Amino acid sequence: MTDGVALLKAAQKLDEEALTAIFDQFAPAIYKYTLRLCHDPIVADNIVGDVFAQLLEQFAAGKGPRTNLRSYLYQTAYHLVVDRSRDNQHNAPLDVAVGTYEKGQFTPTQSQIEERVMMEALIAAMNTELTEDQRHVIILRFLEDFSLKETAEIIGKEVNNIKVIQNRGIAKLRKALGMQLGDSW
Amino acid sequence: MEFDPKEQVIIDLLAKLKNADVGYPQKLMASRRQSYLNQMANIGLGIGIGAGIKNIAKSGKGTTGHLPSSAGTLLETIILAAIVIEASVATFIYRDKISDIFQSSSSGPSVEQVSPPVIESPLPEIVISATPSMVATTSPIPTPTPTISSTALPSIINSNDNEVDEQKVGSPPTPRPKRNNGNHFGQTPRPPRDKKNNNK
Repeated sequence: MTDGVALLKAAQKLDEEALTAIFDQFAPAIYKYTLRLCHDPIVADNIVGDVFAQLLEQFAAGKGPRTNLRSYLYQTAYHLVVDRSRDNQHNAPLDVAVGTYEKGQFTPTQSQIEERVMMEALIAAMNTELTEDQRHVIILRFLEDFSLKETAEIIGKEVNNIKVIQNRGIAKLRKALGMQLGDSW
Repeated sequence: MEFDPKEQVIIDLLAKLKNADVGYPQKLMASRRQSYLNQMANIGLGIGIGAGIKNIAKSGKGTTGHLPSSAGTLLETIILAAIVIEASVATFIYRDKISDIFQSSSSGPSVEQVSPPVIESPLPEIVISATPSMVATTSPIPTPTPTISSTALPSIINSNDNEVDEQKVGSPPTPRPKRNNGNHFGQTPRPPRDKKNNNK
């Protein structure tokens, strides 16, 4: 934590090493997050570039994050993704995750085939059943490990509102996966 | 935060999905990193110039101070280019007004020469020229005999002269009476006699 604060303070003074370290540390995570949302590796790469360009501009103007650099970067990426999705009407995020999941180290055992079917069903449900807010909250909370407060800051809503959105999203996913999880659900 | 056991299955599935390896492709990341470093260098240059200007303002000596010479040249070039661009843009935007100003200045103020109306007086013009002239004649006789001659020549333009002038102008001459010079009775044509008018 102290390293993060020192890194942030050095970056505010436009220290080249600190700025480079920030890129190396956060660029892959931001890319992964945006790729889950926007489905296109090139678009995700462009968004990463925009995120860090905005960060540089903010630091040069004497602005930018003061405490939580990670939340700030995700917040910038979130807004850029939302803007692009409004323009392009992309509604098929997370498909890249399916591809990489398929390329994983899974041997075709019976249990893993079932798990793969479950994962594909989960991704499909996230793409089709969830609203945009629900999808963002689920990804930030359970795939990017942000707290409720951080998620609320990134999306720009109240914590209680984030709780409601999260619970409704999980309920929708559970309902959508009812067939795969068992008839008793 | 604890969830319902049924919902916990979903949370576990999401956790497994999180571990799906979606890496940043090396080529993409390398090119993006390079462009990021270039942006960083540009911003650093801008901040260096800003710091140099601040130093000049602080020292107040007007010398380049801590500003490197290359940065000073670059700054001059940037300012000059900005001025030229700004002037050209302003000229382009206000080209109509500027052309109007030039046209109005080149034509100058238009002064109309007004001549007073010529009123011909019915009275004959009298020209009086009083030229008293003194002529001194010297003679071998010591007693001078000055002769003073003053000639007052009031020239009154008479009616005959007027007639000549009118003829020159071209107006029709007044018919001269044939028999009676001062009486013009009978020269006016008489209207024809009618029974209605009872003219006699």
